[in-house]
Amino acid sequence: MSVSARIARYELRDVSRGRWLIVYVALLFGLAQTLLALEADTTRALAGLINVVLIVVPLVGLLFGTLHMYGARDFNRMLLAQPVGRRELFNGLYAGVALPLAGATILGLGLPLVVGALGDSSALAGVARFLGVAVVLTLASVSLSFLTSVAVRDRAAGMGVAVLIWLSLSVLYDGVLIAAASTLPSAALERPALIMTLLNPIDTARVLLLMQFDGAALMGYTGAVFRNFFGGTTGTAVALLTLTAWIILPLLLARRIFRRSDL
Amino acid sequence: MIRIENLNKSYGRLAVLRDVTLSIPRGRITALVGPNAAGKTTLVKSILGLVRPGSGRIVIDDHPVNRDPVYRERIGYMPQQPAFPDNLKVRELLAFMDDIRGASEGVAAGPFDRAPGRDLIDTFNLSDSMDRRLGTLSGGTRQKVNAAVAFRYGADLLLLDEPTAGLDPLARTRLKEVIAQERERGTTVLVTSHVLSELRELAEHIIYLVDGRLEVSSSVTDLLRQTGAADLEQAVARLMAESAESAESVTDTQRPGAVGEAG
Repeated sequence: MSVSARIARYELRDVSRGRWLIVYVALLFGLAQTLLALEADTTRALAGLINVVLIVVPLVGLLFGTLHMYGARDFNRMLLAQPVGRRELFNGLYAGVALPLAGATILGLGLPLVVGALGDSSALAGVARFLGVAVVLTLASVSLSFLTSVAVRDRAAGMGVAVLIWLSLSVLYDGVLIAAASTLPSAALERPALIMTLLNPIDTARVLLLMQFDGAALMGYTGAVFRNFFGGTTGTAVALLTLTAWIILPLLLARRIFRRSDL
Repeated sequence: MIRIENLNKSYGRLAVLRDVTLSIPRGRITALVGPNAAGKTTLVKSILGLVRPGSGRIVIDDHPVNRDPVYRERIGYMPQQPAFPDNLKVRELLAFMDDIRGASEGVAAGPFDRAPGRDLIDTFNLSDSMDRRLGTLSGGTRQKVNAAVAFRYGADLLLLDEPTAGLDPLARTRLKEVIAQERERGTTVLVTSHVLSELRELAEHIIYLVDGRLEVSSSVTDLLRQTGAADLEQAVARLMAESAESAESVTDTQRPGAVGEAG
């Protein structure tokens, strides 16, 4: 077993026993269960859950990852006083934080949704797609949290930056888009809106998830453009690649900073 | 032997190590002393590779300290403020460290193998705490765990940063006994401490830093002879008083009108 895997194993054990994770699983489980109870079928419950998940999952990933990294700083020094390379430690830390969070997402949302969708293959496919996107979003937000915590030395400032990232991607971004939509004609928005979506992992995830419902029809002309692009295989592939890039690029940059910084 | 050559380190404009050149003799206990912010911890961190020097180099037994972590197989480190994962048990932490040490090629000897007959768990009265989570331990017990980890692998070089901080008198006495045993074994020990009486019976060599500069590097016997002091504590107190006086005179000469006053 590699050094990274050994570190990840103990990190995973530590994180899994924390109260945070249990509360997170309970929160997601409660949300999914409530929407299932309110809606007639799993597909409608899924549609309702999308917006909640798009807010909660990145927020928890960013805050949890950032908090964990600042809290682990002294212990990381101790680990690096052992025959452990910084690259191995960083990889182990990421796996040790991202995997339990992804597991919590699958457990909290997946358990009630899969049970609700049993026997309905199309609903099950929808649940699988939904969980897949939620996991990718979790991994991307943990990557961003790692980048934040290595780039900003001060813990309080780092937490502020993490909240600001979340606020920008989930709230301010929508504001900018709404302002643009209300001032520019739809045709002029078509391409910029597509590009903006791909530059925001939360929005890319939203579009990927909405495309499986008829929600895109509510988005007017731009919605039709989105449906044409993201509804096709190329569009879906581009969206998935973009989301993957949102996991990998911040992580590589964070690792580069971590390897060069004073600890 | 550790050789440090022209080591410089700055954090922004703040120079914390200024052209430090010294040798730490093999198989002896060296005390690293100096007032607050003298650069002691930065020097220890530089030896561990946690801090990247601005210039200069560190050589441990002809192997330059670089990014290859293998040289740390031979090092035991006791940081000033031990921080461990809150949700791991003491037993699990030790297994984690064993795992990491075992992961590196070339570590043939397991725990205790190179220091037969010594059971650090008993020495530091940790038997009752082995199944307790680290987050629930008192500061003193954490420091004992810190010591148990540092001495566990029969390292050739021990770097102990304020090792007695937070320990009760019994644990402090035991720790000093363990350090003395390490000296018998031929281990090179570098220890920083504000409590000079702790070092009195142990230290054979002394390094005195002030404001990032090396002021004294000599055997304790030579230092006592040169200063005319009765013991190490008194000798270092005299050195500190001299440093404070010379700092004051520098400040005086830099003050406007100081030349006139001096003249």
